[in-house]
Order: sequence, then C-alpha cells, then structure tokens
Amino acid sequence: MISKIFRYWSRFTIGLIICSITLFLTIPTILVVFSSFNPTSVLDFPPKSISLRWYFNLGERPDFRLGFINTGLVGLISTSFSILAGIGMALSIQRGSFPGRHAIYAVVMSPLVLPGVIIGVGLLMVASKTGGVGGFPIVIVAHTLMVLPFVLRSILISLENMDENLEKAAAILGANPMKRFIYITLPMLRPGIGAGILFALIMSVNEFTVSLFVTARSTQTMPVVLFNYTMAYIDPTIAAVSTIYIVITIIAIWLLDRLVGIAKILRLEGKS
Amino acid sequence: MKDSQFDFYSPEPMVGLLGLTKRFGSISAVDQVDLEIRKGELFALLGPSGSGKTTLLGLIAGFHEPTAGKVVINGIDVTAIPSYKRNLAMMFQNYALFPHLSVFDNVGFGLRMRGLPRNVIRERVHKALSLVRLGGFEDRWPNQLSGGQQQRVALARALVVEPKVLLLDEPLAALDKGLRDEMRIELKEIQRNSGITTIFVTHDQSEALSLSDRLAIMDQGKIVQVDAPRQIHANPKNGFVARFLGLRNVFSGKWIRKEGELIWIESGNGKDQWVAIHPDDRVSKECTFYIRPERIQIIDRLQKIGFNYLSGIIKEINYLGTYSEIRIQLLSGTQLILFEMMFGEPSSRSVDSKVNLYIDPKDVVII
Repeated sequence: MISKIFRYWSRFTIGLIICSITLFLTIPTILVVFSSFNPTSVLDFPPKSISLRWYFNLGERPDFRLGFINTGLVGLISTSFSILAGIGMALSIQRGSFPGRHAIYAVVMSPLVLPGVIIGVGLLMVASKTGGVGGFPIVIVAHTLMVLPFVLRSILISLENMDENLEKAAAILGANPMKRFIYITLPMLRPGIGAGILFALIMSVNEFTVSLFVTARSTQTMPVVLFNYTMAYIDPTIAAVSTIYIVITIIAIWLLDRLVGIAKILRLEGKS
Repeated sequence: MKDSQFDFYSPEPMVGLLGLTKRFGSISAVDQVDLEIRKGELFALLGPSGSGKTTLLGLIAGFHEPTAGKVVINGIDVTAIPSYKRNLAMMFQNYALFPHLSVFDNVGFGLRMRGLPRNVIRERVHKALSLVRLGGFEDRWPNQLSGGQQQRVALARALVVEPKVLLLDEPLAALDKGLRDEMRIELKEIQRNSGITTIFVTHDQSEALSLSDRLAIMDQGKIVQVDAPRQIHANPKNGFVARFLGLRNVFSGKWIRKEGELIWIESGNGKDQWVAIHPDDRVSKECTFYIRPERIQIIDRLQKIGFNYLSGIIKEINYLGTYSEIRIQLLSGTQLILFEMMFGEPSSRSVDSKVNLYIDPKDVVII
C-alpha cells in the first residue's frame, strides 16, 4: 500500500519536473513570438491586436538587412569550409599514424572550452597584424574555427562507426583510392556530414562573442546587429528577428531531414 | 566435366610467397613464410586465433605492406602493386556488403570499377546471382537479407569479377550450424565448377580438413606443416599440429631405452611408461607421441608379461551413436581417451568400473 502511494507520488513528481522544465524551455520562445506581433512596445499578454509593425521596422533598417545578408553569407561559406576541413581532418586523424595528430585534434576542439572573448581578441590581433580588421576573410575564418569542433566530432563519429572492411572490399574489387572515397567513404559519412552542416549553420548563425570582436559595421552578423540595436532601443524588433530565426531553424531541420534523415543524423553515439 | 578428384588443377603455381614477413612493432604477425599455392586449388590456412593467418591473407590481398619478402601471383611479383590492381577478390568474415548499395550494385561494383558497359554488367550480375541461387534479389538491400543470403551476395560479388585468386576470410564462421554445413558443400561445388584458385582462412580444423585440397597449419606467424588433409592427419609434424587437429592422447616424454625398433618412453616425469615401434634411428631424446583412441583395446585379463598393458578406472562415458568415447584414469593418474565401437548391443561398461587395456606398440605414434 505504502509502496503504491510512493510509486504514485514519485511518478507525479517526475511528471511535474518534466512538465516544468518543458514549460521553462518553451515559454520564453512563445512569449517572444507573441510579442513580435504585438503593436505596442510594451508586452501585453494576451495581445490586444496583431501587427507586423516590428517586421516592417526590421525591413526598413539597413543595418538589419545587411546583418541578415552577412549572417547568411558567413554561415554558408564557413559551413562549407568547415565541412571540407572536417572531412580531411577526420580522415587524417582517424586513419593517419603521424605523430601529433592527437594534439591537432585537441587544438581544433579547443573553441569548445576556451572563452569566446579570448578567441575573439586573439583573432582581432591577428587581423590587425595582417591588415584585415573587420573584413569578411577574418569573420569567415572566425566562424569556421568556432563551428569546426562540432563538424569534426560528428564526421569522426560517422567514420569510427564505418566498417573498415568496406574500403578493403572496394579496393580488392578494383577501386582506386579516389573511387573508394567517392563511392564508399563519402556515402558512409553522409549522416556525419549532414549533422555537421546542421550544427555548423546553427552555431554560425547564433555566434556572438567572437563576432563582436572581428566584425566591422559592414560585416556585422545578425547577433552583433541585435546587440548594437538593444544598446540603443528596447522594442520588440528583436522579438521579430528571433521569430524569423526560429522559422529558419525549423525550415533548415526539415530540409536536412528530407535530405539525409534526422533520425540518422541524431544517431550520433560512438562505437561502444 | 571433371570426374577425377585431382585432375582439375595442374601443379602449376598460382600464388607464391617468398620469405614473407610482417611485423607490427616488435611482434612478427607473419614470420618468414614460404608457400606455394597451385592453380585451381582450394587451399586452407588453418591456425588458432593470433597465429597470423588473417594477416597472411591480408598480405596476399595487398592490405598490408610486407616488412620483408615477396608475393607472386600468376608469375608476377605483386609485392609493390596495390590491391586494386591485383585482380583478386575477397569474401570477408562479416561479408562487408556496401550498406548504401542494392544487391545489384554490390555485385556489380567490381565490374563497374573495371569500366565495363552497363549491359555486360547487368548480364554478369544476373548470372552470378543465379549461381548463388539468389536470382531475383537484385533490388533488395543488404539489411533486408538474412545472414546466409548476405554471404551468397558477398560470394557473388567476389566471383563475378572472375578473379585470379579468391580469398575467403573465415567463410563459414558467422553462420549457424545447419547453414554452415549446407554452405560448405555449396562452396566446394562452386569452387570446383569455376576452377578459381581459392585460399581460405579458418580456425576450425574440421572445416579445413573437409573443404581443402591442401592446407597449411600456422602457429605464431610461421607455417608448421603443409600437406593434403589426409597426410597431415596421418602424419602430424609435431605436438602442436597433433593437438590442434584434435588428436587425443598426445603426450610429451623422453625415451629411455631402445631395442631394435622398440623404444621405451617415459612420460609425466616417469609416472608412465610406453613402448613404441619406430623405425627411425634419429628419434630425439625429448619426443611427442600420441595414441589413437580407436586403437586402444579393452581386454578381459591383464597379462603379466608384454608391453603396454595398463589398467585404470572409467571416469566418463559419452555415447556418440556408433561409438562411445570413454575417459579412463590410469593408476598413475594419467587420463586416456578411447573410442569403443558399438555393434548393436548396448554397452555394459559403467563409470567407476575397472578396465584393463592393451595398446599395440605400433599404435603409439612418435611425431
């Protein structure tokens, strides 16, 4: 009897905890979406009417337009670079036997643990030495470095899960190294590359700390534009931007699911 | 077509290994191997795990670069030629089917790499699949196939390129018992009909003995003995081979007296004494010998004079159909296994009863 009551209550408590965590995770997002359609600067809940005022404000301001374009450009280019670099690095780290490959891995993964401020300041100093302060090259380099750990990790996991006999089988059937890579290795790495693209895009689009240091007015990405905007004004324009971010993220995930399958992408556990 | 068991291959060499050595760090996985495999032969590399047999297969395939020595295939030194140019085929223990390709594309992969036209590929893939009795499976995916079917696809993928040499790594190990026996027969038949020189690696001595024309027994990277199954079984070269082939009653000892062809041997630190007949003078002091379990005779009364009369106690009886396997503990503590044929009537032997034994000196075989 007592154990039954205990079981009931423990189940109830766990349910309560899960529900509140889920609520705390979703409520800010929902509030942001609501307030972006709110005509007044102060958030009314429930909203009295719906307006696209803040979206228009967004479209009218050139810094936001530029921010969107920059974010898209930097995101796509740094994602492409990081995927190419990630494939090459994963192959040489996992297959190679050269000394120092573990050190290289540790260095590439370091943005995960280093404070963004340090990387930002460092890159800014590098840029000032080479005369590229605020230029697109340094912004793209910065974003590539920041997303590479995620890309490398997901490609490495795919590579580790790959049966090494597959390439041997292809080799003995007459496939040279190039053909083995194209017909066997690359298709087998597809889930890892898909996950890498997803992570890289999301990380790049959201990257703030390092971008704050390396961007100039003409190369500002969206998070930096938002930051500068909130320094001057507080109104739901940022809510409108956030809503657009959410919609774009949903579309990106949907697209990737269509292309590679989200189930496959998220099955990232390593070989036991 | 080919009716005699032996005329399907000529003694012409197909694969030659010369002083082949592969070291990983300080460990010699393959150590100074010299071996010749004949054209059309079904050849087994037999050895316990870690004996280097898979590494040796990998050296023939070109997956590893040898530390020393040469690999010659069909008269050409291929040591420096990468595996994709060696014109071989291999079936892997886990089959290694390409999971992202259909059965058709798996089987056709080798032909596609050779740049053959599409219609030729289609025709040859269909032929190969019907050879392994998987006609109509072209559009399936590897993960939709059972283990046995996957193996057939792997075999078809290897055979379709008409390789000079077919390499099989533990071809039957991943199958369950019934399927294994079926595939064993089928494999042998396909090999006979195609006449492709085939080398297979196995740790299962019965598989090697029943399937191969000749076999090499490996231990610690070295080849211990190469011969036809029957010869190896009749004349194991040393205690390792004898034990590995599943011979029973293998003992080590040293001889203490010789009288003509008769040799007195002591084993178990002098606990047991045996008399063997061995015509060769050059028996080393330390020797290994075995007693065939089917040759040990159970007798009614112990004779006081003569050799190799022993008595002991039955510890275990296993009825195995036409014969029973009896484990006997001699008075000295040594265990002997003997096989007793059963001719219809049920055996009257029982555990813990005393038995007297006689072993003819010619059945104590010194190796």
